Order: sequence, then C-alpha cells, then structure tokens
Amino acid sequence: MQIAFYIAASLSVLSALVVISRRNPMHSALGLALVLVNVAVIFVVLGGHFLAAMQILIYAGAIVVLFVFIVMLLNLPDSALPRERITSTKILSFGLILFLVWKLIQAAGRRVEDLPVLNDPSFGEVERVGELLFTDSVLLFELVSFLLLGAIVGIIALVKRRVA
Amino acid sequence: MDFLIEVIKVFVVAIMLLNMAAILTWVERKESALVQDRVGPNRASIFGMSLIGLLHPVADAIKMIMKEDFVPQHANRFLFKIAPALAVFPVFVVFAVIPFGDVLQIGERVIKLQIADLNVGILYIFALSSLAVYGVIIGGWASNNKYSLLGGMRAASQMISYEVCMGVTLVGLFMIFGTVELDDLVRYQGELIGGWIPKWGILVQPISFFLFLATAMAENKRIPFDLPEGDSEIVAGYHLEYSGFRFGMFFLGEYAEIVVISALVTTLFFGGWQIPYLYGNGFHFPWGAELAIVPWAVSLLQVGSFSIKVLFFCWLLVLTRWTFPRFRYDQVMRMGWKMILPLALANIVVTGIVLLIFN
Amino acid sequence: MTGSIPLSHILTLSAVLFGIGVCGFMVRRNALIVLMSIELMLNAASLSFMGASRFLLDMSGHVYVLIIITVAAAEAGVGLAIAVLLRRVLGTVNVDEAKELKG
Repeated sequence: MQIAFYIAASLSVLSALVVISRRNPMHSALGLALVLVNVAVIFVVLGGHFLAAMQILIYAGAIVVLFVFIVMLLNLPDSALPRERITSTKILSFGLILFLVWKLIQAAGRRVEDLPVLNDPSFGEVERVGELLFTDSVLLFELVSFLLLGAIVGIIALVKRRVA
Repeated sequence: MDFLIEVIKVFVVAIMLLNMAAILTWVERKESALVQDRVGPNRASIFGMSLIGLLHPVADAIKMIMKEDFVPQHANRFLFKIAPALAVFPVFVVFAVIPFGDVLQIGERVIKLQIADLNVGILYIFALSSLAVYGVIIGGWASNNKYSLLGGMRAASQMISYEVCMGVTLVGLFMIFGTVELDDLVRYQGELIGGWIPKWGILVQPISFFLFLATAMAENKRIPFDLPEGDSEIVAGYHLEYSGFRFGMFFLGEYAEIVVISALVTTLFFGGWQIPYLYGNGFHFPWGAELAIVPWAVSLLQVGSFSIKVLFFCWLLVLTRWTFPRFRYDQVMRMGWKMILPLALANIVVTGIVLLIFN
Repeated sequence: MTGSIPLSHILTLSAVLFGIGVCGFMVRRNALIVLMSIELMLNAASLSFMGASRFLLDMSGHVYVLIIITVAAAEAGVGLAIAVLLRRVLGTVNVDEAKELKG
C-alpha cells in the first residue's frame, strides 16, 4: 500500500508536468487523464473506494474526454497554437509560485504523524458517503445541483448564439 | 494456496473471455449467413475437416499475426501503438467483479466464484468502461487521418452521452435491491415473490432492462450504433489506419465487450448464476417437492446456468447487428438525450414513489 | 495497512500538484491548457481533503471531494464553451488576444 502511494504520487507529479509543458493540447489532455487515474489510486490507498470510482468515472471518463473532444473539434494546426514566450512577468510569477509551494510544504511538514490504523471496515463505502450526502450535506448537494443547472443554461446560451 | 487459487481464477476467466471472443467472430459470420440465407465460412480446414467453419477464427488469428504492422507517416507513433491496448484493457478487467457462480466447495475449502467482490461493484464497471473510450479516441487522433479523426470524435460524443444514460437506467434497480455490489444483487435475485416467482431484475424493473440493453449496445459501438466506424460514411473510422494484430486487438475488444455486456445483463436482470428454486442442497419447489443434489453439482449447475444466459445474450446482440440498419448521427444523439435519459429519470421517480407506498 | 504514510507526505504531494497547476495557469497562453491547469489545482484540493479525512477518520471530506468533482464538471463545461467561442470569433485560443469585453 505504502509503495503504491509513492509510485502513484511520483507518476502524478510527472504527468502533471507533462500537462503544463507540452505544446500540443492533446498530449496535455492525456497527461491530465494520467494524473487523474493516479490520484484515484491514491484515493484507494486512503480508503476512499467510492470516491476513486467517481474520480475515474466522472473526471477521467467524462470531463477529460470532453477536453479531448474539444481539442479534436477545434483541430488547431500548429500555426494557430499560441506562441509561448518567456517574459519577465512570467519569471517573476514562477518565482512567487515556488515560494508559495515552499511555504505550503513547510506547513505540511509540521504534521509528521502517520495516518491512524483503519479499524472501521465501512470507511469510504458507498452507503456511508450517500448517508452523509443526503443528511449533513443536503444543502450543499442542492446548491451544487443549482450550479450545474446554471452551467448548462450558460453553456447553451454561449454556444447557441450565431456569430455573424 | 489462497494466492494460487486467485491466480487460477484469473487465468480461467481471462482464457474463457478470450476464447469466447474468438468464437463469437465465428458465431457472427455463421449467424449473418443464416440471416442472409447463405452457408457462411466453411473453407478453412485441417486434414480435410472444416468443423462447420470453426477453424476460421484460428486462420484469422494467424493471418493477423503474420501481417505487417504498419504505422502511417506523420502518425504519432507512441500513441498510435498503445491505442489498441488501451481499448482492450478495460474490457478485460471489468470481468473481475462479475460473479459467475456462488461458491465451490472442495473438501474444507470454500472458493468464491468471483475474482474480486468490491464494495463499489457496478461503479467499478462503469468507471473502467468509461476509460475504454480513450483507446478509440487516441487511435483516431494519432492516425493523422481525417476519417479516423471524425470516427474518434463521433466515438467520444456517443460514448459520453450513452454513459450518462447507462448509469441512470440502473438506479431504479439499485433502489429496489439497495446495493451496488454484484454478489449481493445476484443473491437478492434468488428470493421469491409470493413464494413462486423468482425476483429477477427484469420482473421488478422491466423498463430499466430495455433501456440498459439499448445503451449497452450503443457503448459497444456496433450496428445500429456503429457511427464511429460507419464503413459507408467514414470508411472505417478510428481503426482505418490499423493493420495486423493492432487491428485485431480492436476487433477482439469489440467481441470481448459483447461477452461483458451479456454477462452484465445476466447478472443485473436475469439472476446471474441463480436457477429458480435451486438452493445450496438441491431444488425446493414451491409445491413441496424436493430434489437433493450434492454441493459440487449445484455449483456446476449454477456456472452452467450463468454461461447459458450469457450465450443467449451474445446471440441476441449478434442477431441485432444483422437485423437493423445504422442510425444517423443526429438520431443517435436525439435518442440518447431526449428519449432514453428522460425515460430513465421517469423510471427512477416512479420506482421511488412505488417504494414509498409499499414500505 | 496505510499506517506508515505520514500525513505530511500527502499534503506535500497536494502542494506540489497545486503549484504545478498555478504555474500552468500563470505561464501558459493556450486557453485549453489553462483550463487543464485549473483541473490540476482542483485535484490537489481534493487530495488534501481525502488525506485529512483519512487522518481524522471522519468521512465528511469525501462529500467535499464529490462536490469538487461536480464543480470541476461545471467549470470545464463553461470553460470549454468559451474556448470554442474564442476559436470561432478570434480564430485562436490565445488568452492574451481575448482582451475585448465585447465579443
């Protein structure tokens, strides 16, 4: 289990680097799919079997497929891809991001305790997540459904418009 | 020893699936011949024995292995080469959670006839089959051919649309049985309604069954839903540029998927390995008669019942392919979003109301 | 089974993924890759939710991860619709060129 975590962690970081470094958006999208699958593996290690299934089903199976579909739909030739230039602002922001990550890692380093032993066999099971979702978090659940409805209406309003 | 048993189970299931897929290619040709009033394949032979054409899958396999493995110019070599493997892999691992029998008792040892009993059960199947689309899309994109690209795009949109429906159609079933674990689902289907009628999924959720069968066919990308291939419109779609065994893997994946879908339909709606009135120690008929059977024979009967149901649905799916014409692209989309999805949602509402009234 | 993974390692992984996401968001000019970087950041967030949930043996983190996935779906849908419009109107997906308020 421990080794699975470290393998998945390093693979996810490597594929995340692929996402942001490739010029071709198709390679980035496939890298993103790899990140998501590896994160799902980490979810399994952390006992979230249901969430791992959801991560692959919705994230890798639908959202990233949507990305890939749009990349294929736009079918951008190499000349239409934006030219990535290195500017001083980019170098500055890169430095700031490094500082941010360094601070985050420092903060994370304070919790060196190991994860507690899992005695509860029902941890992360479908029934438990469902129960929480429809009792304690029911308001959140309803709000998110409104968000989705809004997103659907927004997308249709955006794309349906005829451009002269 | 436990580990050895697990390994043997995995091997048996994988080999059965591969062989079934190969034999289905023969079934497909013979059945198409039957439908079109022809004789069908009967030429491949060893020492003059053609075995009603059963040697054709072997001949096909040899032909595909011997062919040149061609990669088109300007294709993305790496992605082009891994795409067939990505298309086949999910289909094979899905079978891990399908129970093909109850338990087999050898001496003291009780062996569960299912490779992995996961709590997420059917969600695992959905998750992995949603990854199957990557093989098709990558194959279509990496070939660097406009017809392949069109095929890949069609596959992406069709499979996302029907995946939504596939999940929603089954919710009614889960509401009634209260679980998503496949082993439990099959066990609950062994119960009897009023002591006579087996509580199979098809009897409690008939609409769900028909909708699921339609969406499963669409996921399988065969006629009437073979838009991604569409030989007469976009030549052969996503596997246009493939040759040799890489094409063979797409082909194999398609037939293995037929077996998986049949197994899934059997498990969810036709009681899986259940035989009505058969319990661990023999038949107990509702009119009082009893017939004692030794446990190992019971296990054998159950595996046999599962296999026969699966074979029946394989036959049905192949027959469907040779009976219907292909849909148009907009018809497929309209059917998915405007007919199957609303019907499935209505089914959930009705099931919920009925459950509320009766509980 | 998982007793030997310290919480700090999970949080560090989350921080690194988040950093890579921010980096892609700030540095890249391709709208599609900018959207993918947002997905990376959301994933980093759900990873630390899962880690904390496992550490405290409290499952409410799982609900939040589910919500994050839903939000990501909505975000990806709207973002990709905008990307398609950008390509239609401007002929490019460069976010630097989309500087007019009216399109």
